[in-house]
Amino acid sequence: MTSLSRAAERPSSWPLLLGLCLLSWLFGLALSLPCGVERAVHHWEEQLNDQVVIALPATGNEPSGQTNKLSQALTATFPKAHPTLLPDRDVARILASWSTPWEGPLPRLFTLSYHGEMNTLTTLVHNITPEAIIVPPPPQMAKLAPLMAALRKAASHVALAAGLAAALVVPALLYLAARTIALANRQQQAVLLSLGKAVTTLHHILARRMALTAFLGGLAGIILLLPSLMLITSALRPLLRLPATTGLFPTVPPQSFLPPMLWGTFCLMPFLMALAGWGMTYLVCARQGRHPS
Amino acid sequence: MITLEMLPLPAGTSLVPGGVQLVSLQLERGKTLWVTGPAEAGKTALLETIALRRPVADGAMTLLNQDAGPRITCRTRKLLQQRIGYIEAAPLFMDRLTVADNIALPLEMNHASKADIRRETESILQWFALEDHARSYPATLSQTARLRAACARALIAQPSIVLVDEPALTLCAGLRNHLLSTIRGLARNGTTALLATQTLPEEASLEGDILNLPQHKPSPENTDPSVPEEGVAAPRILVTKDERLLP
Repeated sequence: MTSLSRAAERPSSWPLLLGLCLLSWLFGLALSLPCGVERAVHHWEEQLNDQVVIALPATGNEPSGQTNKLSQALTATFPKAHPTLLPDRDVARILASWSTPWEGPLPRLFTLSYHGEMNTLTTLVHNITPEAIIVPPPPQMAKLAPLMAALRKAASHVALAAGLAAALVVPALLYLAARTIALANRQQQAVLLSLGKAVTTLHHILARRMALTAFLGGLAGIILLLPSLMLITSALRPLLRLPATTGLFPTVPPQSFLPPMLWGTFCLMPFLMALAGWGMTYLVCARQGRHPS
Repeated sequence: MITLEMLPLPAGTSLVPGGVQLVSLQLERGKTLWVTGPAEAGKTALLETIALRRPVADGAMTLLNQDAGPRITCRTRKLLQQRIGYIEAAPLFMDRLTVADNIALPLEMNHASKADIRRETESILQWFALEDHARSYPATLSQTARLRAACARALIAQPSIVLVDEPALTLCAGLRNHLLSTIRGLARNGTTALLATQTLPEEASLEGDILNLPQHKPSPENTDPSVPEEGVAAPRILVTKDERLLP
């Protein structure tokens, strides 16, 4: 009904729009936090040095029979550890980083990702080459594990708190906006009731407007979230050990560490807000119609 | 047409002990009833009750042969309200609509054709001398112009019952004359009218019955209704014809 649509009062929708925009932006950031932390922790775990180094005494340029025998034994016993005999160039580089340039013949170095008992490995290696030196990996994981667990826990708690806060604040904001709309249109409702007309048409008009505002607010928040996540990802790129950026936009957009389900939730958020706004306005207006005072 | 039986209505405690009076009346189709009485006598309450703006707690009320008593249904209420034109003391308007749109509202709500709406609206705007205010907004109007607009809105759909509260009858003589001549015309077509005022107009051309409020049963100590108590308005029962109104 055209005139009824014109007759409906329109209180300023900016507070609701900005409020929902800010809330959806914060909610999106909070939900992204655990994913970002998980991604960072995963990267750090990948970067940890868990390589066991087995050093054999220098025997000359060609691998000795002992070296070959050890290589076969390690591959057969620990196939998942990927035992690798380092080439001389890498050995020289490693030794150079330890001390002054190595003068004598280069030792043979095996690396393997071994997470089992060191005694087992030592026994096996010493059975073949008693003079071999076994260098276990530095105990980084033992120190970092509590920190990573704490980080994960904190991120989950922040996400949970943000979720609960949004679950409380968004309905409260929608209720306040719906109440404002209903109060602003109290006179219109009274006129319609006095004329013996149904007020549901007016309620539908008001609810539709509210839904549109809530949708736009949620959408603006999600649109703002994209560049924010990109900015944060770019800033934390060295920390996350992501590839370097090229061009205007980062090569690794935020999608890379956010699961598709989370993006689905973000896309759904404006629609949910619109639905909640529609229902809230309709209920508040209908309640006011039943109890006009 | 309008039947009230022992309908409790509020009144000033200085006029009615206990502050509640029981009103009974019967008004036929096409009749006009003047409701008179001092302030707080219950005139507006009576109009609001008949306009279905005030809940009926007790007694019985029948409007247009429909039960409008305490057990009135929502649907009946709406149907009856559409056939009642109530000109309140302080009429409410939709402030974002022009005066013309406000006046056309009852017709538009009844899904009348656009041509009919335009024709009827222009006609009634002219009749109540509101042409100059047609495109104005209600908030910009004077009180008299607002009452004119309220009269036009209440009468545009040619209601079966017209209820007029005091200001429309006392604020402006021109408006009152317009309104009364319109009501006379409507009454010839079967419209029943209730007009509330503290004092009856002096014009000899007034027609209709008179109901003096407040009404209540005389107490056993004071059975003679012609003898009023000191400082208290004398309750009078419904009289079918007042000699002062005869031409």
